[in-house]
Amino acid sequence: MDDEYIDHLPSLVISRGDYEENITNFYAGGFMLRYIIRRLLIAIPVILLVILATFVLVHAMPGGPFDAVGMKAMPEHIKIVLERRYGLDKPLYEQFARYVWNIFRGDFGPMFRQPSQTVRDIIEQTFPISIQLGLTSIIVGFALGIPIGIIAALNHNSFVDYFVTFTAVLFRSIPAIVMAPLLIYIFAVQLDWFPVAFWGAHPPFFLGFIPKINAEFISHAFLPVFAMGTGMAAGIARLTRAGLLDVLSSDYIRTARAKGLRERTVIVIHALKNSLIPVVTVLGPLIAALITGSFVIELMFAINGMGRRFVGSIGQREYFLQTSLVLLYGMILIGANLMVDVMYAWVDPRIRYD
Amino acid sequence: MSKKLLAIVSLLILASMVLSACGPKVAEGTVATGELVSLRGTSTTDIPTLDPQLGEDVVSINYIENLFVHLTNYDLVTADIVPEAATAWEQNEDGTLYTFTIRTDIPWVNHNPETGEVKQEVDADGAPRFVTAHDFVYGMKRACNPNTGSYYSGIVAVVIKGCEDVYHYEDPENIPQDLIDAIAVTAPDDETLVVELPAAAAYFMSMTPMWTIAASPQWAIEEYGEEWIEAGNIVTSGRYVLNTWEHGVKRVILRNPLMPEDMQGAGNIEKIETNVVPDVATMYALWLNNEIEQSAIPDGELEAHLAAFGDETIQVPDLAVFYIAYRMTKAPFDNVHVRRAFGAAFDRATYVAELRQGQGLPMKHFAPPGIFGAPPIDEIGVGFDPAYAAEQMALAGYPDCEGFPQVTLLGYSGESTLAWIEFAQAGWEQHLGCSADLIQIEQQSFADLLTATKAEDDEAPHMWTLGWGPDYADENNWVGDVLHCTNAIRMKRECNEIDDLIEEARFEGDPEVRKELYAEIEEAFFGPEGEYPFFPIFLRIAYTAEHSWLDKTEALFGGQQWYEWAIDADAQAAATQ
Repeated sequence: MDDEYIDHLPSLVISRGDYEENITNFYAGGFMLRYIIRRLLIAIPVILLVILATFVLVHAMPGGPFDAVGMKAMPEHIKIVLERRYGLDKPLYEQFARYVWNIFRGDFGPMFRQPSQTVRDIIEQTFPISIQLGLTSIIVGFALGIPIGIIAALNHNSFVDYFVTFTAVLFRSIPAIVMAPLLIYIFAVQLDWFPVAFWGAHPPFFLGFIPKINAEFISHAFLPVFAMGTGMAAGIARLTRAGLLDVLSSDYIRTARAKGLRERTVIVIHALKNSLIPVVTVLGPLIAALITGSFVIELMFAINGMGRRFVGSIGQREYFLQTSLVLLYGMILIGANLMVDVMYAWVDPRIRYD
Repeated sequence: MSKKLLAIVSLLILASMVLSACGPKVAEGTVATGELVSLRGTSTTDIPTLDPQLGEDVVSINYIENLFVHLTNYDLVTADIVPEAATAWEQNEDGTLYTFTIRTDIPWVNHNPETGEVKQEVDADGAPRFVTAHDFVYGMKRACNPNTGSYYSGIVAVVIKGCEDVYHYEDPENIPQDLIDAIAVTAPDDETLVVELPAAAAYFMSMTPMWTIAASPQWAIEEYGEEWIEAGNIVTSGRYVLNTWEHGVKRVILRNPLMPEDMQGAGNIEKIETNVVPDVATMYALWLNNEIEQSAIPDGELEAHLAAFGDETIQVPDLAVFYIAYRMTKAPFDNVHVRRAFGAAFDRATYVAELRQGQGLPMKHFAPPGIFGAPPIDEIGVGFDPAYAAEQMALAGYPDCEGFPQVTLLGYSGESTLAWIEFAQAGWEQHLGCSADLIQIEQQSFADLLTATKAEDDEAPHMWTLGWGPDYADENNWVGDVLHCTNAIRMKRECNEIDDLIEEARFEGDPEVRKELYAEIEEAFFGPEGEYPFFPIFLRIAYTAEHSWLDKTEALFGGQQWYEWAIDADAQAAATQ
């Protein structure tokens, strides 16, 4: 790197040598590993607290899983038999301790209303589907959103910018519960371009969640992923646009341009990474939310995902399923946020974790 | 070896070969493959269970009907009891002993989903297993056991001698075997089933089609435990076999090739594929796309659907009657005049026509048409009569609702229930003069409503919404199981001469006398001098979109008999292309 260039860099921007030194120290010097281990250790009590809070809340809800059969009240002594069978007659602290102990043994508990199934069965059936739907939507969201945001930022205050902003606001504003039936009616029923419902991937999956990408998968995935991905793309586009606009007005970018660097180099090499910090910030919760299931999309497209099961479990008082899915969500959220923090360091090497 | 010995051994070998060829054959078959006549459907939920003794919901009961034979069945048109596994039956003079003749040519089968093979089950000695009276004994005793955890155990417990002792045993986890053995259900041989009742119960035969007392495969249940119902494990005896059960996604059943020919049913459906579609709008979209034969119709689409597809619409009653009940010990509803007044001030016809878009039948008494003993629909009950209502309010001491205290009406959650209770509130204001602020309306989840309505008077609501659907096709399941003072615990009804009538009707052997008694009971509850523990409002009827290539008769009791349904496969194929 040219010394004169370095002299003109804003003071907050480190030199290349410093940059390389920081990155090397950061990754190879063990800081990151220690940081990750520290975060994982902190996560354990957090997860236990999450389980405890969820456990208390689900049991605090009035009514139980065996109160009624359709419109009829379950006879009291049958209710007692069933509660005893599932340990629901024990004190709450004992139920909690047993649940946590079983979790460590990989036993997430039974299903009350489907005795031939366990919670683990439900998770194994639904989690891969939710991951497929969620990850596909994230990929689409980022693949569309980032380029669109860049285009809008680079054409700031032009027709392109206004059009992109308008479209982003539009897609962001249309909730999935409106978008999904519209897509089904237009593209499936009227035009017959795509299936009305269902998911086009069936187990077994590669590595437990990767489906076969074939025509059946793509045709079934198109509409639900479109419904989820476009709203996300819109949000990411707006964040990218705002972040890039902010970065493009920085002194170091002006300097880079003054040095005669090509615009593509300025944007891609110098500006883009810094502008993605807001996008990376939302990535963690986004991943956690999407891969644990979108209730509305799964409901409308009849996709057997975790989101739909989670919402259903509330009304049915499936305590073990509720608690286990919240636990899973919590673990994924912690993992995703940790991943985001690691990515921060890559995106902005000024960030240190020591 | 000497020649003599060799000859003897050869003869023995030959004899064993001949004799083995003459022994009972284990039937095998393969389910039909290729282009099958298929019924394509959807369901909002997965099947909770396929276990006959555990089935409690409509989805489970439909599948159990088609996968297992029952003792008897309902005729689809007349609702008469018709033979199924039991080909004949007789009762003793005092009506306490029923003897059923069981046909023993219905095989227990297991279907291998991977190979498509349907094989008859065999016992430890290799003998083929057929449904016998012993299997019904096992199923009935299992139904009596509280550890089965089934709601319907309580329904059957009262009609089988010795069953209640087991059902109500104080320590369910340690029920003595001799108590179970004392349940008065026996099989002197494979073809004879004997059921003893604690007392004559004229409605007992109405209960014999119930899935709860169907024959069950003891050996499979003991081998697989709760997973005996999974595809590949399950042993069935019905017209269909379970081919696929992808939990939460879909299930497929196929015709059982080993079912006796005379029991296969008149229908031509060879395959039934049902996908789980929780959302009614999506279900309807599949129907519009000709991907399924039937669908519920979203409320917002009903008018447009009727205009466009009126000829592909049917009305299906599910025989559930909905009502508003009273806490009869809580003022002011401890006053019978107030109860009559509120009941007569609800305009049922307008409610059904306008708020339910015609999907219902106004009800003036409890048991709907089709139930044995139910009076003709317009003959008994006051129904909507504002003049009568006003008169009753005046008799109660609240003319034009003057001095009437604030009361609560509790409905279960949901938009349609909110519309219902708001309609009631508005109607009482209009016809009784009780302003809306006197009728406090609330909503809670169904489970919470059940809890709240069992609370003491000071905490319980004054009124609440509820409904009742039939377990079996007899008035005893209505006025007996809901309104008898021992059952009407939420309303806190006190026992009186109406309960004597209910008990008399329960045990009366003459059907015509029973009908008269039930007419008297309905009049005693809902006539002008009625007691009104609640007031019935409507019988639920739903519009269903149904393609014209499906020919069927709905079963009002038990599960749907898909083996009697038929599809015009050419028309279906033409529409699907």
